[in-house]
Amino acid sequence: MKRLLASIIMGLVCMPGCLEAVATESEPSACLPCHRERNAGLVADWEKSRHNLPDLDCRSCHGTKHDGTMAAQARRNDACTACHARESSSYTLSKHGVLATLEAGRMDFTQPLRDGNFRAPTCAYCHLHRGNHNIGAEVFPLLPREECQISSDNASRTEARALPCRDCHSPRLVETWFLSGDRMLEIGRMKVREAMTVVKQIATLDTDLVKQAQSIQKCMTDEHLRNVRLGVGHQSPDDQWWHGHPALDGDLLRIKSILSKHPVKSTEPCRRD
Amino acid sequence: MRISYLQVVVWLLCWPWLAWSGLPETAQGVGENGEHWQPDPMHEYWDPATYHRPERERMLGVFKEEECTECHRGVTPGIVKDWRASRHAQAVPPVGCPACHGEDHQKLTFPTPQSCGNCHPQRLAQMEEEKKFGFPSHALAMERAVDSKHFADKPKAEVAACLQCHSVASKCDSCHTRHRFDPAEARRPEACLTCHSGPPHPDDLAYFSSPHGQLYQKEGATWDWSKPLRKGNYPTPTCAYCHMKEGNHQVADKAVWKFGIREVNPKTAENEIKRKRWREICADCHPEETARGFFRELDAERQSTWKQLYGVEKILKSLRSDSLLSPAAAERPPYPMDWLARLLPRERIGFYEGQASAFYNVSAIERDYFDMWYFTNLGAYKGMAHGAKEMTQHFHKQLDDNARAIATTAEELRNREKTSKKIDLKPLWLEGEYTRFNRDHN
Repeated sequence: MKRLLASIIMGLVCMPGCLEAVATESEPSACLPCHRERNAGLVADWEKSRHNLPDLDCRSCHGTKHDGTMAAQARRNDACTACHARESSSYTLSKHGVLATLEAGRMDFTQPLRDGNFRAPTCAYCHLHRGNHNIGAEVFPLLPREECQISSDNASRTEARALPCRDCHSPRLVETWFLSGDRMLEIGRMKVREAMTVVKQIATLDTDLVKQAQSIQKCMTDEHLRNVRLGVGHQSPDDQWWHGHPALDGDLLRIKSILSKHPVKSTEPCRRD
Repeated sequence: MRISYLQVVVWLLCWPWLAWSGLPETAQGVGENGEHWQPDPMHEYWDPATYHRPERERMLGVFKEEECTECHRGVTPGIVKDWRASRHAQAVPPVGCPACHGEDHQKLTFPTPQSCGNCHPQRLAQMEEEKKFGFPSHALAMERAVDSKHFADKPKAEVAACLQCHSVASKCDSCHTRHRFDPAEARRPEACLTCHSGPPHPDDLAYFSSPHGQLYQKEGATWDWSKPLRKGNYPTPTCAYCHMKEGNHQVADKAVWKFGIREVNPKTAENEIKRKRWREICADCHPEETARGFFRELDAERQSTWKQLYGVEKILKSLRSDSLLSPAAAERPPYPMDWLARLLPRERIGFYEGQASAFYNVSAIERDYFDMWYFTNLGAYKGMAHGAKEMTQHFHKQLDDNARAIATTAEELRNREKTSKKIDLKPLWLEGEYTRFNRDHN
């Protein structure tokens, strides 16, 4: 009994100190030893994820305050937007993003990322669905720029990316949506591949013009095709269309115009249209 | 947790929902050029009244509301939670799943404005009334999209995004998102911005950079959005406050400059009436003379911009007269449905010649004008119409830059013609992976 009493007293004396130690912990590696034991699967998933980068650690998304709000904080869109500005702007204009903005004050971020617990999916709801820390496993990788061909392992991602959608949408709608989006993206790649063929022809003629054509082609892959991809992924019509396909059309015809000896003016290095 | 007998039975019935049938392969387009194109399967969701086919599921049966929600609580929990928080769920008796989708799981339907109108006849009537004002219009948006030449011509998966926005004519959930259907949500400006954004209609940029929008951004989150859009209820107007005053679902009766892609005469008797309607709204906060002055400024801005646009069109038309547009219309892929253009190929310059579809398969200088006419011009218009001064100035500077660049290119084209000899452009412009695909897929 005395022993028990002593340990309770000791515990009460030490506890605030221990909490303090955890709460102010700022060493990047400090989270892992403990959470490897507590959430082995989660840490293992994170370690194989695209977020396992030298500059990132748990604190990047969860903050440094170990006071029980760390999970909720990382579920908010703010946790992602500082690094993912372009992705975020495409999402913000989507219907999901609009609802997330309007409902931000009313959504309970202490709930797990599943079962349609949120009025609208946030970044984390889809990309860390059910708390899966292998972030990006469901996202199609960026395209190999040289060929602009789709990689063959994409089919395996389809199931993972459909999972969060099915919390609210019928499986039939989700499948129709993804297949339609895949076709829309492939048409974008066709435009880029057609442009690449033309650029190769220009290369045989004139070294100055080929530089101009190459820089336009770079806009097609790095900007416009990327916009289509973001638009498809986030269901943002503006990126699929205005910042995507007609922009690709414009650059394809400008590259063709160069080969046709038509003067091509480019007032901006990469048109955002 | 106790699981009732009914729950188990309903769950077992729910499992085989994975079998479905989509659009039949023979589905045909609609509208002016409908015979020239087939819809993408996604069209079923954007225009359900035309394209939705009930699912041929293995899920059989006729269900009551409680049975639907019991099963869908597991299958699609998000929408059940959403519906439960809606006014539909709180009504007595509740407006449940069968009220909008039907009871027979083999014959489920998607709601359309007409079906929503069964309970909301006034709103439907207002939306229908909009049709008499012509374009632009929510009620006519789908028709506008599918009738356009480029929509009919391009592969349908490429233009699927068009219908996502133009589906505002075929469904109510563009603004009242399912399954909450909250009017308060549709009163917020963000509800409009998924579609009213981007280069030809940067309404988001225009509103948020205007004094009205600035105030909204600062304070809007704290206002009571359950209040109707009426004088005194909001410190600053939102999109819906001006364009859908008192919740009027007819948004076209005040449109004077309309989409902004052609010049109008703002002084016609009809437009004077429209202007009066505008001033009545402004009068909720501003003296009438202030509103009059504002519209005078808008008209002056539009008229001077049109003068500039006509100047550039004149340059292009003179290049066309001298056969200097290259490739010429006959060297480009024609629209498949346009037999007249095949017989008499002609480059399209300006609104009345079909400028809206002239953004692909055209020469660089024509595309530059398309960008000026459709993007820069409309940026200036939207900025001016929403009282966003800096934005308007930005686009006016860009209009000047565009006009200068096009004039220089035109000059180079004229000089080039004197020195270089004509080359055969057909192989380059008629072939290529996408160009071929576009030709074979409508």
